[in-house]
Amino acid sequence: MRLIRTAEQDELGLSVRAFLARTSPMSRVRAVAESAAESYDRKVWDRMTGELGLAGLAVPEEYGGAGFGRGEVAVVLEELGAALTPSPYLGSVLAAELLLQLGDRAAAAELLPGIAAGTTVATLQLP
Amino acid sequence: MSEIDDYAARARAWLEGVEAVGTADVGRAREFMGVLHDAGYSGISWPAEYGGQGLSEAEERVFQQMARGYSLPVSVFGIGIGMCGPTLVSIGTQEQKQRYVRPLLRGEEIWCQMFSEPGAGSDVASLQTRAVLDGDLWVINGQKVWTTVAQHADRGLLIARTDPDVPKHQGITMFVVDMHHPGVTVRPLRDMTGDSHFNEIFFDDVTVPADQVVGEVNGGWSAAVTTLLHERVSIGMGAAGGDRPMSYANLSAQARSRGLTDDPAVRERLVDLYLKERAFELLTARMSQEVKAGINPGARGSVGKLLLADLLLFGADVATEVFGPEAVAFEPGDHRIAQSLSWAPGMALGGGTNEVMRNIIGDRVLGLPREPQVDRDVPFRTLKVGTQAREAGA
Repeated sequence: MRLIRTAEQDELGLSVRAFLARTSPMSRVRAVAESAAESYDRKVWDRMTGELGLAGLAVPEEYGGAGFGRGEVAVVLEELGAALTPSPYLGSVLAAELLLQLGDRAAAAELLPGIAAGTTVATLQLP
Repeated sequence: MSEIDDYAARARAWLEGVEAVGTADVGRAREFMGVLHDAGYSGISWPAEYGGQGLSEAEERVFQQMARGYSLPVSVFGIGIGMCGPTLVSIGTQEQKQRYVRPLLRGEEIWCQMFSEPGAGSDVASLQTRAVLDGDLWVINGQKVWTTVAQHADRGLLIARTDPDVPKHQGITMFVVDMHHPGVTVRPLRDMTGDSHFNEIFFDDVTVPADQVVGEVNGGWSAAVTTLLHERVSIGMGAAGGDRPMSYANLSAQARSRGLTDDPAVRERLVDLYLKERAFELLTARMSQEVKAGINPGARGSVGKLLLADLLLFGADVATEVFGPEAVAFEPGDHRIAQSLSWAPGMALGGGTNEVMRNIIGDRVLGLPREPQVDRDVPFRTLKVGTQAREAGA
């Protein structure tokens, strides 16, 4: 398993880092953390998933994703962690991965496009 | 098959043929290092001109990783190979490299590292062991503590104060010391595992020739930092293998055999242990890949060391929960788990405490503001540290 970033993953990381520095600086992180009204910044999420397509990175193209893999998702998670950005990203990518692993094509076709686009915010709940 | 795969296959074949004998017999360990060197596996990535094999980090990592499964009797050489040798290779003189590296790699000389003192541990720059130049001999007086394998050592790397009138970091020099000098007294310290891994060392007018200075006179702090960085990368990339008594593999098997795994609270603890182990494995694997790719992990070795300490302490907690009263040992020969448990807290202290690791990570990895250092620019002589604290009436 390759654990160091490829040149393309490096670029992805830098662009996510720049995006978060602009849209979710520490002042915003603190405001969200201290707010009772929001647990994450919905505008940042919409841009991350819309413009940048980050939620769909590891979703296959047939379901509306970019068809990359866990390496790219890991890069985004590292950058979100470094910027301390509150976000439903982890839950979302885990849900997408689980849907793909289950092999239920009907459920995948119904749910993955929304997850990939960020319009459906998904998470995992263990029974 | 690539070249490195070829190398790995030949190394594995050689390791399979080795007679693994434990590590208790120092004489056997010395012999074995000679055998290892003859086979081409001692000093794999060290320069050939000084007795190494002149290969790359890739071969070094491959061999070290495989060798962990074979209990090679080389632990008494750990300090020499992990820290002292690399320091000499980095900053030693030609003569020092020619004199010391090959005998180290062949097991002819055992090395220790003498930094910490009773009054200078985490703040080792506050050391007081004194070296005074008399003609072309340095005369050393003072005391060191926590020195691993000193009771077997032939040579040691020492840092001592050579100028007390400048700030503490600027008046330190590193020396190679002959541990058989009559002025050197080594006293083993018995720790709570019942063994004596470390020692205290007393220096009474120990003479060291001027050509045994490593690096520059009064440049010993930067020499020491070189040594400590080697130490952290080597500890931080150490094995946390499944055969340890407090590994997930062992503890989950023990819990299962005691019927404890029906309890969801126990399962949750075991899963947490598994996750920590896996995270540590992946971190060290990533650092290995970086080293092979020519990226120097540098201060990030501290992350590995911190995670390892955390993992071992957490494993000790889980072990206590699983083993219950058997985790307490009253007599020699009591359950092996008790001895492993006694080792665990040491990991958070030796080789740099957890607190020091966090300082380094904050400072040099995350780029956070440095801790203020009020003693940075004043002469060492004025500091209230070690025995100077008592003299100052503090």
